[in-house]
Amino acid sequence: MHEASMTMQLIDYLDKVAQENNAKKILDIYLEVGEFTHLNPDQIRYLFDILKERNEVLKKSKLHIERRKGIVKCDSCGYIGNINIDNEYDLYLPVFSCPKCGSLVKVVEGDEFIIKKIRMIK
Amino acid sequence: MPIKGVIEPDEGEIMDIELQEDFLRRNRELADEVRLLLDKYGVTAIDVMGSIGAGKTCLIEAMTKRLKDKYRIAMIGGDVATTIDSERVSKHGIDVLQINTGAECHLDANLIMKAIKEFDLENIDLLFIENVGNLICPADYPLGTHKRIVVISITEGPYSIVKHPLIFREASICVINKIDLSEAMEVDPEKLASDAIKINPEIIVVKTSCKQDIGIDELIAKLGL
Repeated sequence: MHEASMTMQLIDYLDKVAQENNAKKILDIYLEVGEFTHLNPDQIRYLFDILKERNEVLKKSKLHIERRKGIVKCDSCGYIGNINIDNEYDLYLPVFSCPKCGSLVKVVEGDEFIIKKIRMIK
Repeated sequence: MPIKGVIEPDEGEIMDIELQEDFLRRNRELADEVRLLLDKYGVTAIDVMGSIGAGKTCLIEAMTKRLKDKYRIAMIGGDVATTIDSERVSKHGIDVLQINTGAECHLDANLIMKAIKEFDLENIDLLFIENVGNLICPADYPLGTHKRIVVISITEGPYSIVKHPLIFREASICVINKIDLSEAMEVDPEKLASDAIKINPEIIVVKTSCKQDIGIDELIAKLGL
């Protein structure tokens, strides 16, 4: 839903990194997007490809997005792992109760929008 | 010992850099700073999230009416445009600040940090923050408040919770508003409540009708106010 502002923020950030490193071009950008964010990789890619056209440093770059699976932790029983997805409705319905004991779990991974690595030409 | 030197890539050479920069973590860190500032002045803040037209403003008005003699209350209203909601609440005699996001679909911790600096926090006990009407984006942006509540209403139909599950994850209270319209809408509030509890086993569900003045006292009690 806020893919546009995130993508614009990403482009500003990449410009800054390119400048700091005296890079002429950025070739590849590796992102990780958490399962529990409302950020859709396809939309980010679509927006990025539109916005990069006006940017000399990013024009030839390619975005690689990996979806990072959510990991939760239960403080009551110590469970660490994935959550259950409910199938009562025909849609993705994550359940934040512990698969083992039913308590509310904490999210350890899955809330991220991470720029992991950039490949550039000096 | 000084380092031997730095080998820089040649002109045109390919270079990889590892960054691990998390854009969403920045918001969470700022939210922690907001919380510290609020705690320093003893301000309790409540993030009122929810869909458009669910009754967020109405609930804030109803709670303000009941609580304004007990607490010094202020409100931050978030909308894409207009000051309609903020003006409604300011009629109850409390300090209100409007944040117009322009385009953004949610408030974030940075906007809240700027906003709370506009208030005299020494003279506030309770701060309501009405988020932009939206069941999606605010979930990704904690604001540093002590409690987050999600307001949905019967008129949004029977699936508004399961279609937007992530926002119910961190909220401690789910308000189902307009319950007086359940029959007319043929929407079962109990089913909505069980959907919320399925996603978040610790969420407290409060059924209200702001217009009929039902459930407001219960909501105040569940908020610990």
